[in-house]
Amino acid sequence: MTMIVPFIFILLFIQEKGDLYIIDISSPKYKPVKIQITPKDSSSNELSKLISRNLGVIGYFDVVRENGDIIIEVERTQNGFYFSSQDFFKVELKSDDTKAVADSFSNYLINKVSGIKTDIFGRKLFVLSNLDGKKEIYQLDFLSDKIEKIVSAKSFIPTFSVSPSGNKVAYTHYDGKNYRLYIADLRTQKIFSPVIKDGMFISPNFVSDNLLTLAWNSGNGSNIYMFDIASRSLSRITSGNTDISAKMLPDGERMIIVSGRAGLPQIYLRNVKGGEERIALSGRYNTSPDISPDGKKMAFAKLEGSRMNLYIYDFETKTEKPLVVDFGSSENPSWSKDGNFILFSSNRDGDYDIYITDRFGNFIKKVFDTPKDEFQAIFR
Amino acid sequence: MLSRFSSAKLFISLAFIFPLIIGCAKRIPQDEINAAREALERARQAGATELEEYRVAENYLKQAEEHLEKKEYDEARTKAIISKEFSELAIKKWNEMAKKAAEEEPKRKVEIVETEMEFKRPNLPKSIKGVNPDEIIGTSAFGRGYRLKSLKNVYFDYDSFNISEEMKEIIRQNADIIKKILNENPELSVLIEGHCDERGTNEYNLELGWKRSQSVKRILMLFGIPEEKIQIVSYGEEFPEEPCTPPNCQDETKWSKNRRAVFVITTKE
Repeated sequence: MTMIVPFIFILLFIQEKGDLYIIDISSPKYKPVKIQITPKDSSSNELSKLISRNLGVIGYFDVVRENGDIIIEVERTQNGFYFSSQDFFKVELKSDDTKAVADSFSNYLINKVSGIKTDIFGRKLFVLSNLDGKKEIYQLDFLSDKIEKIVSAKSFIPTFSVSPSGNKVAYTHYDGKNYRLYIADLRTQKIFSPVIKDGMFISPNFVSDNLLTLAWNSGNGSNIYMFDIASRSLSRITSGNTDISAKMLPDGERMIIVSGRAGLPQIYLRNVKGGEERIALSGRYNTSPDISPDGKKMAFAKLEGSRMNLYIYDFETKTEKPLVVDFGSSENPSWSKDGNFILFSSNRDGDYDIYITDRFGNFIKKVFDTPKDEFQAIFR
Repeated sequence: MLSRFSSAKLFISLAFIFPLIIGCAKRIPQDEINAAREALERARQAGATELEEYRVAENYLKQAEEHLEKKEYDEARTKAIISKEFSELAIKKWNEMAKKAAEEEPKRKVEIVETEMEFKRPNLPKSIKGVNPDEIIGTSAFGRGYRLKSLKNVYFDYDSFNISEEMKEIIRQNADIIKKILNENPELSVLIEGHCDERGTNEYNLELGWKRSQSVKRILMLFGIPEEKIQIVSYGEEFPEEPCTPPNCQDETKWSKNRRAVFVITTKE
């Protein structure tokens, strides 16, 4: 199989009167900006629809047909598209790829309105879904409906992780006797099982493209190991016999683990060289942690009543704030690469679907849904 | 090769190295060697093993260790400090490369990956001696064995793998049936599947399901089933007996039926 690399060349020519920064997203009282996108010619209709769809899932905007706070006129040019908005900005994006223009302009507009820099539009998502009856790994462009399976399972795949470069996917798969670790190398299109040992390998998480944390139950309960893909060596980190879901902080010296040693699952912050403390102390059942790209915060799920709610824990202040509460049962939070948004799964509408919120929990929007369940999504 | 690296950085390093050597000439440089080893390990864990800087650091550390063995402490100290410097350089360079790759890679188109994952299916006998065919109610998940009407499930409390007295009695009754079957069919064994309700993460429920099947295995052994005749597996939350039917997915009655251990007759491993 050959790899196709689409060549997208976008040039932005910008004239603007300073920064807009219309809303303060750190304040829960902000009101969404009414955005009106007006195509000036028929060849800009498709682009306008794509931008409206993009902005429709970001709660900083309310996409309207008339009376917009910001009215953006779009017109086709010889080499791309020209955007103008009263006196705020005039931008030309040069590309013949309409979707790429829509994505780039959407990222640009989020920055103009909120001040945050993001690149979520134009990224891909990896999704764990049982669309074909078994939990398998799929890929799609963010906000696209076109989904393609990238890893098929003969049984099922409980969880997966994507490497920092986006070139490798690690997952475990039940082979009829053991849960084995597999790594899919997306550049070479090869899948391999780097460690052949009996037992249950679960929750692989990349530290770097060549290093994983994982939990391995070899017969006495699960413990955390570091696994070096190149040398295929396993180094034991914990011995609690009930430890899972380890994720390394960016400093490379601390990791979080989920352990059931106190009865119910709780999250612990562990120094690789030894020593650990329980964090996110409120709640009897805390799990599903994911660390922000800057390593300052952790999103996690807490069981409250019969539902899982999502919270953000701050490693510096050691405090936590609600992120997504009373929204069905919400699990598997996953930060965007720029640290501004969080994907998660929720069964609010019955089956599990993928939703997005920002790091303050300002809004919740559904971003992917099939007739079946989507359990986990990760930005590539 | 050295010219490729920051000369300023090396100059600063050397400016520190020589006073250290003069001041510590007679001291065994164990701290310096330990620091070099730690830095090299950090570089390895970061994934920088492919870099030239990593290989240089590795080489200097090897030399430092050889000098230490020969009690040539000055040389050992110098080589250890240089090794540490190169390890730090390797980490920095690798992190920069990883950041750049992460910025570029998302635009890459990926095609479908063909998988070649193994799946082992047991070669089940068509019938079980001493068991009426009507007694068999079907095969278990992934066709790993037969489920029998007479083998009752064991149920658990929420997030628990403890076995109540009531459930111990069920295991005792199951053990009597299993003993009879295994005596007549020495090629067979019993598989205990551990299952959970849907609450909690997949990973946690896989571990919890394993603990449930392990708990049942221990009691089964107490009732006379040999360990080598017992297999265990966890399916976590994958195979609920009472699946969630939206929108009624918050149902304790259904959840309680899903927290279970299931007994399956299968072939020996």
